[in-house]
Amino acid sequence: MKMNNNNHNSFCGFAEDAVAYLYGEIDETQKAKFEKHLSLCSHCEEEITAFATVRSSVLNWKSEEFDILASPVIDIPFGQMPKTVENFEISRFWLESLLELFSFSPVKVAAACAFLVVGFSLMFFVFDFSAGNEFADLKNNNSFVIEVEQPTENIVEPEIQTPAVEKIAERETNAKISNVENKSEEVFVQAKSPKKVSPSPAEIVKTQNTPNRLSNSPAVKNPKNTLIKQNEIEARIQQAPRLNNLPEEGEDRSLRLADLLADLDTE
Amino acid sequence: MDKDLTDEQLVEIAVSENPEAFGEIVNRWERKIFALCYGMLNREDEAGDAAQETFIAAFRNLANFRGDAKVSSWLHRIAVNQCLTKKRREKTRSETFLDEEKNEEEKFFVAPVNQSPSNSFEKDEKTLAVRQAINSLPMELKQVVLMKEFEEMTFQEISDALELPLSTVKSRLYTALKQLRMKLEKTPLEIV
Repeated sequence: MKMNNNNHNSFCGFAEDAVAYLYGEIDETQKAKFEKHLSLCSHCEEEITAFATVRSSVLNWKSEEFDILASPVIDIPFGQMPKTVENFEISRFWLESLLELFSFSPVKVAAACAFLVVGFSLMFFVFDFSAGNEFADLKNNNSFVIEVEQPTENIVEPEIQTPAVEKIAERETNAKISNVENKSEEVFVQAKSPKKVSPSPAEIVKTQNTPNRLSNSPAVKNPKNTLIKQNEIEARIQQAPRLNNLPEEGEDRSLRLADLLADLDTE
Repeated sequence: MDKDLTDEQLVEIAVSENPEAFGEIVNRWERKIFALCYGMLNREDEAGDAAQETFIAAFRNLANFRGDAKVSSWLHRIAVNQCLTKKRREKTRSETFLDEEKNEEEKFFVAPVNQSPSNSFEKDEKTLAVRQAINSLPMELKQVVLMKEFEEMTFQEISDALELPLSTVKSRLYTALKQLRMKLEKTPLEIV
């Protein structure tokens, strides 16, 4: 009597055996076992019959559609040689030799260090030699000339002669002269001498900057340097003593020699 | 070329001595590879292209062939990959859903080129139903069915080709047959 167990749907645990049985790839022991089960289980018998029907449908489809098709012409480009084993082995050989080259060993490390030392020493030697040659060239001034732009004339620091200081010195000499010559005239001269007014700082700067030698110098050409010089000149002028600022008792009562000579001429 | 040589020996000769030894491998396997490609792509021209590309790819990579696997398994793996690539390209080519729907309709209603008008209506319908049922299977089930039915490969050969355990191949085939049975039983033809 056959079992009719409809609850199970996987060949009662014989799914793989059922497929193998269907395609005839089941071994004898499993085949006997499965056939015995089929004789007892109606569900599995029904299943295997349904599967055989499906299989025949697929085979029909194949025979109707595919079997009548001609095989395609497969054109293999035999001229283009595939990458041969020999080539592959050669490339492997190169790869292995490269890897061996970069593998570490005490001898290789020592050789590498020695090579580095020799290389560095050679490099330093070459640099030193070239540097020595350069200095020698400089000394001999033969081929290697360092061109440095130098001014054609020496920069002459303008000598600042403030008129006030000049006047003081002149006044002292004049006073000596007047003391020696005539004291009475001195009184007269004192009465006649006009007060000397010192020139303004702007005028002094103007007069100081006028010389031709300075105009050609780099300091003058460079507006920055010129500005610095002007500032220095102005500062020194400011610091210089002024006749205007002299005390009352130190008032300039001297007479210039030119004025005296002029007076003598008129007389 | 000596017909008694195994596929593996032919590959060795092709690599080391004579590349034309690969031609014998082509003769041995072209029909089966073409069958697999046809089953997966359902179009003669595309299946032919896929088979051609499979053998060319194999020839160009002969040096990379591992001796531990069978040449047939290797060829099948390449063929499956070629078909999957073609299917993916086809999928990306179809820009809109409407295009895909149209293709499906074409597949369903347009008979193959080789089919003559004299065939009976019932036969056509059965063939179409089976084709549609197989096309609707997932790829991993479909390729097992095609290898078994179209190429008549053994379970062990399928296992080698797909690099799957033997039990997995059998269970996949069981699942595939079960789904095919259900699909074919649902078709109106069966009811009629």
